[in-house]
Amino acid sequence: MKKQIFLLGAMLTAVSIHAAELVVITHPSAGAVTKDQVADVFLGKSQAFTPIDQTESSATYADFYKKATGRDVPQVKSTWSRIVFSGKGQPPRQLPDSAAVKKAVAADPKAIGYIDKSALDGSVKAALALD
Amino acid sequence: MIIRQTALAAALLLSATAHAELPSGIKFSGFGTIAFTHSGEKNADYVGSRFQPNGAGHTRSTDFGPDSKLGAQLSAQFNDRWSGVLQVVSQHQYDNGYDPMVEWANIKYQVSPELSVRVGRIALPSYLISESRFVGYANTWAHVPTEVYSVLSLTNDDGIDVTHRKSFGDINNTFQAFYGAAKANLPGETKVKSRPAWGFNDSVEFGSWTLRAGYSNYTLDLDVPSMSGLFTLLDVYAAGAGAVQLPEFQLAAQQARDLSQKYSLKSIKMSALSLGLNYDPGNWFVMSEFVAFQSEGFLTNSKSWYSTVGYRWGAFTPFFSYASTKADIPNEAGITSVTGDLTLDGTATALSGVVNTSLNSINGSQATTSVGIRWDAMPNVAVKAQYDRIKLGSGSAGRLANPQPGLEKGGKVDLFSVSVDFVF
Repeated sequence: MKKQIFLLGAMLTAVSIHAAELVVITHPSAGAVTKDQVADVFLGKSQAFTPIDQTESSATYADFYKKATGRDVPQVKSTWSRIVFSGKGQPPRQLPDSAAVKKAVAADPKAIGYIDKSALDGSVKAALALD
Repeated sequence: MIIRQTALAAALLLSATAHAELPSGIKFSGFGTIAFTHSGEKNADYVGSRFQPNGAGHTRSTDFGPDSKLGAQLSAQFNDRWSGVLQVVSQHQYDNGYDPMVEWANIKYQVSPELSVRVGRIALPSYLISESRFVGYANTWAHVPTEVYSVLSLTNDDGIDVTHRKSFGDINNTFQAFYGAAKANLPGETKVKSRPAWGFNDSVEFGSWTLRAGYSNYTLDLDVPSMSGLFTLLDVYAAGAGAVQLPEFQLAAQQARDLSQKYSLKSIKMSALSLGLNYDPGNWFVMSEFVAFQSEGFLTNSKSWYSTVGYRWGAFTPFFSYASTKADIPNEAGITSVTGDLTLDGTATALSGVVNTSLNSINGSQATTSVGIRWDAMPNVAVKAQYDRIKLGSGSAGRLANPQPGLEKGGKVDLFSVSVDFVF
């Protein structure tokens, strides 16, 4: 029982730490972005950037969409299904972790992604902190 | 038909191998709704669209047909500029079957980041969600508000469209124009063709707001076997009355010819102006559409609208909706000239009656109050329950199909729907 409470506590802490440390990244050559622009790009309303997602089942994914767009995962899925089945586009490519997203963004001047702040380095630009 | 079968075969074949080995750049996806609709009105059928020959109520008290669907879609990105999409949808159709139909089959060329052109079979952009009206998962309701979405029933055309998207600061603007020809089959061996069909629309998105305005214009040819008798009889009447060289007979003949022309089923001009609004900041939303429809002949002018408000509470989205369609149905005076010939005058009265009955049966007025809930039960799966109270327009069967003599016109109908929507 004690162990379980401890585990729960640890998970909650992990979630809250995790939650506090998301950063939107772009290629170093990219201009400034606003939170509204980030939301538009990741909800398919704007093609100003090429969005790159983390995996849908990850806590990072849920956390990012909640903070950047105010939407829960089912709403994000529903929004994208509307776009996909309008033949208007496909949802962002999903990469497994922050390292993979960072690598992809560093390689593409049009890419935009979100990663753990702890993974941040000089290969990408920290465009926006989400908390 | 051959195109349909080939496309279906291709889609099925591809679906079988979809997850195994699709070349990169080609994506297979699908959507579906399994729905049961129960109507408390035994003397008429609730139908999901004008294309369905029967539904819930009279034919079956609880029916799978009105709202169930299955769709498959292949999207191909050939390179930076060229892409294509094929969408096949199976749903209850005019012939009482579920034969899959090719809903879209088009090729898109991205001229510039802002401008794209599509050629082929394309969704008719009549409404805010006309392109996802079949995708239950993408929508909140168990079924789209029939008062508005059955006004322009055609869902695709064969032709070309141009889309221009541009951002002005935080405002995203999308302008679209289309030109093509559309056709569809309706119950009762009825066929509809529009040559041409054209229109344009503009959507503005900023923050949580989407505003849309659109115009579409159709020139319809209808082939309605059940009405051919009316036109034959008008011709016979005009010939009979016209043979008598007396003013009242000549006037009656002219009135019959006028009626025949006024209600001709060929080259019917119709147009629609539609406005849409969606405000969706995340934890709640409001969505509303209005369509002003104008048409010659039997289709009659109408004004229709709905408003839906929903609140997102975790995985649950309770919603409330109100929808109304009001047809402006003229009372046709018909053949007024009294000839004194009993046969001719009796026929004239009968003909005028048939014209007025037809006017009242095609675009019935009605209003629906709905409450429902969407539950996002699993990733990619939504479960919905909805209750509709339909108030039929006075003296009208509303949008119900197969009205029986026992139907109380202007009455109320209770409708219960449960559905499971999925995407894959």
